[in-house]
Amino acid sequence: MLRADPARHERLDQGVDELALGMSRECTEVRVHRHDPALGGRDQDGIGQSAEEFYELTPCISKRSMALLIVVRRGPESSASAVFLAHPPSARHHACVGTSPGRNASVAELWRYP
Amino acid sequence: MLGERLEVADVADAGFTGDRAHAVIDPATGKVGSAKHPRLWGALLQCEARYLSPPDAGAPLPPVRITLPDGDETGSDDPDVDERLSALFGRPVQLTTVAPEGNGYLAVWPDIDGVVPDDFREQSAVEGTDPEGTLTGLSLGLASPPGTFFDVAALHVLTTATLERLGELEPASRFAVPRYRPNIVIDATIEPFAENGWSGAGLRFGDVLTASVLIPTMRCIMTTLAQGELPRDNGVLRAVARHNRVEIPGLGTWSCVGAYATVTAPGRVQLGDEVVIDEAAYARARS
Repeated sequence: MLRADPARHERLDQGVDELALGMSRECTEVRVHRHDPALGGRDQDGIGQSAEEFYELTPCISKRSMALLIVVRRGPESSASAVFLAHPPSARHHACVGTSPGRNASVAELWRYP
Repeated sequence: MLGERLEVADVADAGFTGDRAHAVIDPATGKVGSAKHPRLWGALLQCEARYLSPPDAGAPLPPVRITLPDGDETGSDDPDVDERLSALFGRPVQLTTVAPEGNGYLAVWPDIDGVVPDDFREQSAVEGTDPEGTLTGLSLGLASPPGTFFDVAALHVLTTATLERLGELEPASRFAVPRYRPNIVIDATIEPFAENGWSGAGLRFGDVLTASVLIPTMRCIMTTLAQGELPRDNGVLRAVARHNRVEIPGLGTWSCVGAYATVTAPGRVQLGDEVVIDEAAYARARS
């Protein structure tokens, strides 16, 4: 089973920290899906990849201006999937650009589960 | 355990300060107790938990007061808290703030068409049977800081519009907020199930706190369980499977309500704060 390499972990952490979170865990397979907001998030060009191939792909990810959906499939003893949405720095600027008139939204309830 | 309703909350990278900070561990298996395995842990939802004082980020957590199903109380700092909880669950348990190795738990997926992708059910299945459905082995904190007890992500939002619409579609069931265990409920004049299209969108709460939406929240048996005045009702989950199945890239098609998010700028949120949702999210929700 592959384990995250600390040096690579640090490199990931520079631009796509959610990915670093994913890579800090043991994983056996990583699948990358392009998630293009302009296409309604439906453009999947995901490729089944090994974790090693994923590491090689990360420089490309950090240059993209769109979010990427990352799926990490963990070991056979707990074959859960995890999802990480990577936001390259350039993509973060589009967040919170405002809301349209007539769509007032407010916080109605707040909950914490100790 | 049932949570506490707040008027204000400080939110950091790990979500609401003190959120999902405690868990019950089964020392025999090393797994976290989850009400998603109701036969063993359903009583969790008959317990209420609240901090005795507001937790501060970076400071040790204050004690938690736990109200047991019979109305008795115990505290996270009481010497006999494990004994009291062990008596409740009928097995030795430990209350902890430290995630066990693997942070695993067992979850039962009821046999309701469309709730969960078939391949997920098959791949996650573990040995053992449960009369309520497929027993699966999962891990907590998959998209949240390591060692936390979140199901997936550190922040969980949903809109009143979605719950209201479910109530209109299936009036026999009660789609109450506590069934979904969100952190932030957003009141908005917005399309029902708008959260389906928010993946990748930014949310701003008040002046400082911002978050980025990850994926729609996949729903499970938890929403069907009795808690407080709410009855056991599989219809709650069946309704979502009937009316709001969402394809999540790479994960298949799930029955969803609300959305998971990750904090992008920590800050304080309080009731009545304005919520700003970026335009792209609206566009996707309408398409």
